[in-house]
Amino acid sequence: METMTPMERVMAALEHRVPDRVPFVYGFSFYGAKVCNCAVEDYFSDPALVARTQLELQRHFQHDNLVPFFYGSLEIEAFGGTSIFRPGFPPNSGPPIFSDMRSLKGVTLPDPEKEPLRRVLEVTRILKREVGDTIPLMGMVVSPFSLPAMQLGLDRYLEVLTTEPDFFHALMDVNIPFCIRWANAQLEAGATALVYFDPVSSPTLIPRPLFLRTGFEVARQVLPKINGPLAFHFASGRSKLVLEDLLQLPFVGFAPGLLENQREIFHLLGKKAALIGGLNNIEMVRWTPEDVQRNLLPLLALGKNGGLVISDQHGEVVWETPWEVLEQVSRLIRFEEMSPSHG
Amino acid sequence: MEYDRVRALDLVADFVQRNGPFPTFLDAVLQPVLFQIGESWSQGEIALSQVFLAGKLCEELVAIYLPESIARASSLPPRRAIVTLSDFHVLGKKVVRSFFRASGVFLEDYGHGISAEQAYERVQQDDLDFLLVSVLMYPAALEIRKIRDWIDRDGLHTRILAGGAPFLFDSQLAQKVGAHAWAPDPTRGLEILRGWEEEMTWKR
Repeated sequence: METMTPMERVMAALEHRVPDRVPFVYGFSFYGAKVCNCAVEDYFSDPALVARTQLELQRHFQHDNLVPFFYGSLEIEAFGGTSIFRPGFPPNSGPPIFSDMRSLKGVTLPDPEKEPLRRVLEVTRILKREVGDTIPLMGMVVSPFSLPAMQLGLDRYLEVLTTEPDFFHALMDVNIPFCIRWANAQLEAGATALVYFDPVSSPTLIPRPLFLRTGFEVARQVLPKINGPLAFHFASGRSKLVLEDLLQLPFVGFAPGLLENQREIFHLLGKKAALIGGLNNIEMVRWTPEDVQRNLLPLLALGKNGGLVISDQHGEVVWETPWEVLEQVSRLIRFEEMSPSHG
Repeated sequence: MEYDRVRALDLVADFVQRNGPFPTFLDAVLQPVLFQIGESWSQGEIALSQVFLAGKLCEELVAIYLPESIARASSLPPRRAIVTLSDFHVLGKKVVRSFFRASGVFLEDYGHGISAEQAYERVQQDDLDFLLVSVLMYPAALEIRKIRDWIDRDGLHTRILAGGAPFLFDSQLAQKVGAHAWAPDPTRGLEILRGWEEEMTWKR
């Protein structure tokens, strides 16, 4: 088979066609700051640097994606909140920005073309200019349903979800139009596909009946209005209990829980969506070359006919992940299938 | 499993009226139920929101029926505390505190977003017996290593019980960071703590 471009390879896998090899994507977000040896906040304040680092990392590891995404709490900054930066830590959302109905009064929808979101669009445009349609650019939006975990704090949000329906709906009235606008702005800037990051919908966090009344309904409203392919991401939360429900939604890729049986989820997804996952990003920090083999070979067998994009399960490469492990994973995926013993 | 705070409070009041004082309810109903909730959470059968709201309700019950026991417990040995290390996600800490309080175990709250240095300062000041550390992010888990090293360096007897998502995802992490144990849910955490406290009683 002729060698595919990363775009052709990923599209083949998502469409359940046979790729030249199983595609793999790396969630290099704040890991780029480590590579550049600079503070995380400085790194993300410089779109040209982020774009250049993305391209250099891709040239080195030959993974099948680029990531214009910065970090989740950037959306909180867009609403006037803050992020907390610490060396070695992913940016964390600062104090809650909303508390009750009154706190929502006067809230205006953030404009993607203004600070801080415009920087993500700038990175997207630079990357698109550089690679055209050869490498997929994977953007990201936090779902309107999960955003309040940062807007209110998760503990407060779980109370609101259970006991304050009016406040919940008022939050969605703000978050839904924002999410659609932000997602489509990324697609217009050149993102190939978007990850819809929705951890609160996972049965790890809320029971299925509540999900069906809330997160599911929100996704049903939002996803059809996003003008590009989507991957639904539970950020390492469990999925199996709601998988049949989820499969009614329009997405092409699905990232299930870290502790779930990936093979089982792969088969449950069938041809309806591709599995995105397989790598335990926490354990990867201490993987030996034998661990790389033990974890990767079953995945390569599983995905050889399409339907799998190998990825870390949480959506970002952990800061402490050794460079060598990332190289070993890359080498094994790129060259293993050419070996006669696993052809 | 449904959340109905008003109905739950009515049921408890009714139980106390018919069957005797609140501690009877605590032993006969609440503790076995909390144990079951912890187990169900570990098995993936119920969601974190349910665990959180159950814990909150239990905490409210203890505050209503046994307010004096909370004040008393906070001043008695052994000294136990909980901290959310280097992180601003406090849900895990809140759940654990609620469950423990409903079981008559008071945990001093060392707060959240606390550095290893700040946490260790409190450990020394309070001559702490048990430090429970709740983390969400992987680098926060690694901070436990510093506290453990300082405990060993200074010859303190403090034991560390860790919990949080990173420990679920890597079974070797607790050992790597030097936690004396880790717990996947509050019920298991309570069992571990009680085991340690029995050892302490025996030593005294």
